Amino acid sequence: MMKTFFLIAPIAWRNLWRRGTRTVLTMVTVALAVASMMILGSFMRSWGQSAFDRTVAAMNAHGQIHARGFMDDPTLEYSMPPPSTALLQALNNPSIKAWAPRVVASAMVRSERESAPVRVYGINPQREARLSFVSKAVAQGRYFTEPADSGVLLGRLLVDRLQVKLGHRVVLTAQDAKGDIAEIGVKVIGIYQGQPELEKFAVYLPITQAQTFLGLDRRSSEIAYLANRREQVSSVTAMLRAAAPDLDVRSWSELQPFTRAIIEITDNTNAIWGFVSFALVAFGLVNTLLMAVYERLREFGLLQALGMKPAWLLMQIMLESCFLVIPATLSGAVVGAAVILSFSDGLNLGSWGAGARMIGASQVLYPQFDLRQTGIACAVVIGLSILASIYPAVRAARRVPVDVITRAQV
Amino acid sequence: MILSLAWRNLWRRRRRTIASLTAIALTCVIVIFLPALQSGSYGAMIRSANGLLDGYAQIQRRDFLDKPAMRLSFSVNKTVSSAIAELPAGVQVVPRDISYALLSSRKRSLGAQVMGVNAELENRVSTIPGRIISGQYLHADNHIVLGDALARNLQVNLGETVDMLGMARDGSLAVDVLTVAGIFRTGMRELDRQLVQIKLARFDQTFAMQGQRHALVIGSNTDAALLHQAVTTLERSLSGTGLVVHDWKKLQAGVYYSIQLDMVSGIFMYLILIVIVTASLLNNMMMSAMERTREFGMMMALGVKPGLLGRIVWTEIVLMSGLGTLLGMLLGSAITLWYSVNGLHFESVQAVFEQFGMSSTLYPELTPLTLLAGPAVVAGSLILAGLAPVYRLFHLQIIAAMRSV
Repeated sequence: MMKTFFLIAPIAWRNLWRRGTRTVLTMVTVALAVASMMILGSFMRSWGQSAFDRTVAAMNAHGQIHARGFMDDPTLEYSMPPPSTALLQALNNPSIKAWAPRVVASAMVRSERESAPVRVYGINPQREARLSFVSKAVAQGRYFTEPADSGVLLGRLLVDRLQVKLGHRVVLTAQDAKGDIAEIGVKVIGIYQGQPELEKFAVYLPITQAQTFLGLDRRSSEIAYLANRREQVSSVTAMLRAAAPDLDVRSWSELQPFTRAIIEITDNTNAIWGFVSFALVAFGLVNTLLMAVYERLREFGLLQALGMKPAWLLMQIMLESCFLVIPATLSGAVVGAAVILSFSDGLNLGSWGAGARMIGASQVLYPQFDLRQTGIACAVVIGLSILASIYPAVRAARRVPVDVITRAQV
Repeated sequence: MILSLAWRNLWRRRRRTIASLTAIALTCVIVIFLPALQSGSYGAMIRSANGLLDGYAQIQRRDFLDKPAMRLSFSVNKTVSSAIAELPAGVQVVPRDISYALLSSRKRSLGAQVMGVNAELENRVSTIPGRIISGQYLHADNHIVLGDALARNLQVNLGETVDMLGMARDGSLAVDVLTVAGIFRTGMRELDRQLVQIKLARFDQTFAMQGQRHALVIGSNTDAALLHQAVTTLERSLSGTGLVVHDWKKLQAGVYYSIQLDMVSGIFMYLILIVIVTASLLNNMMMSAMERTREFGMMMALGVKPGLLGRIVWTEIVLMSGLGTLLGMLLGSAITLWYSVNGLHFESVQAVFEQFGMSSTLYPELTPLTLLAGPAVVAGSLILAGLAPVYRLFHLQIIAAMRSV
């Protein structure tokens, strides 16, 4: 068997180069399809990933716990006491990377010159630092040091709008837990940079100060949590749900259906593109192989008449398609990987960034080279191509030699 | 004669020709249907985004768009009103004032964007007056209409009062008590949760505007060319006044750039598709010429000029590409037309469409551009690629050719 293989393999290889142009063209087609599939796939995945990252960073974390009713009517009326023992135990499970309680309230912020509607977040500085972007995003001034710190962090865009500077005072007006209007004057101790929507609307207070201001005692509005890995989110969410049956536990995909839809779209686009480009490759390949077989029918007939077994003939033709597809697929993968890696510093969408943000992604995309995905794609292309070449191979092996040889021209 | 020879040559390999035709036709269907779908969804996006609230363009103070501050207002003086009077008939211009205030019901207080509008004219530039789901649009002086999420969060019903607390243009406190006349729903979360409208005169009084305006909105429900012209005219006559005309591409930068982004990535994908198809068909063409090397050699030996042979081969390719493209255009336009009447429903990605205030049913738009551009590129690149086998013909060695199998 091995001997036959070593006899036939060089023949198959040489046969490919009897029609050099054709072989090269077919290889280029296959390589192009593989490369485009990889590049597009990687960009789409980075798009979905960036939509996910932005959602997580935009204070959603991997999921949130609220009192029932809060999601429909996000006010202080639906606050919750500090976590129960069962919930605390679940939150401290090793599969949860970080969690933090927050106070969330709608408010108006007023400077000497302007006023704007905002969302106040009362945060626990240490816990929040492991969970969200704020602690690392302070561009001017400082972050909070402890839950009982004082002062306020404002976004850069909001500071512009209110025409205030570091050290100025602003007045926050909100409805407190009893339903009365509460006001607090606070000093701007830090200015942060982040997603424009957050910079405009999110205002951070240390949690104790927020609780006092809003008359919440030790109650909070939400607990945000982060799983160790993205794949664990649903199991972690289920675990928390079981630990706190009377609270409303939701993962990011339930909190932000928009992001989930974006990720679905990118996945679908990948699947469709993969299918279309593979269909084209298969079409080109089968056509090429069929022709390669037809134009050599006489030769095959002769070979068979000289004693070559149909099975060997089948093997020869299958080997030809292997020799054609495997190098082509691999070189396509190399080209694809090179293109992807050349963008690994990030693809800046420039002025289209505004559009990208509108569709959930960020200004700069980071396409990732995913070895496993590439491996699967290559294996699928090679496998299916070889499958597709069975038809022409069988046709060639089946022909009756005499019939073919006697016909001068086919 | 060339034509009929080429035609017959095509059908010597019936199966291959049919396979090639199918590939060309399917590619054409893809490059007709998908761009039509894109273009249809862009149209819907722009129409709904502009028609909802922002209009086709707005006249504002230069910095107002980035920093909507109370003091960035302007008076509609003689220059401005004569500039508006010059606009072509059918272009609607409606004034607006904008501020932010704290709204309080008996139980709740929430921040909101307060918009002063001319209640009689507003429906010419915005669909919000038509989106009232309970009650009525503004008709008395002390009326207010709210987005449904805001009304729900404030826990107010029709006929109840809300207190408004904001800052007037002169820095004094702006306080007012208003009666809820109606509740609207746009489907866009930001608006439904944040926006309220009151009458312009009331706004003027409460916020001490002294007749000044924050924006003049130019409605989008006229011919696009007319609107474009109106913007150009206004830009000219308002230059030097400190006022600018922002068209929808500025007002809805997110919508504009996401369309651009989608368009560019779409074109990129179609180009790759066409390159792959062309490369794989070029293979077919080369083969169909090369397998006849012996025949060509014979014909040349008999005195046929390579030019004539070349023309025959090329005609074959032109015929095949033309026929495939034509088939594709027929099929593609039939599919597109069918969906442009019946609509294409996207259930799973509804949230994305809602973000743009659109329904999740899309209607592809069959325009001469979407019908012709794609197939033209396909046919063009195939016909160009067809020159390769012709080129080979001119370099054929007669003797060697006749000997080849």
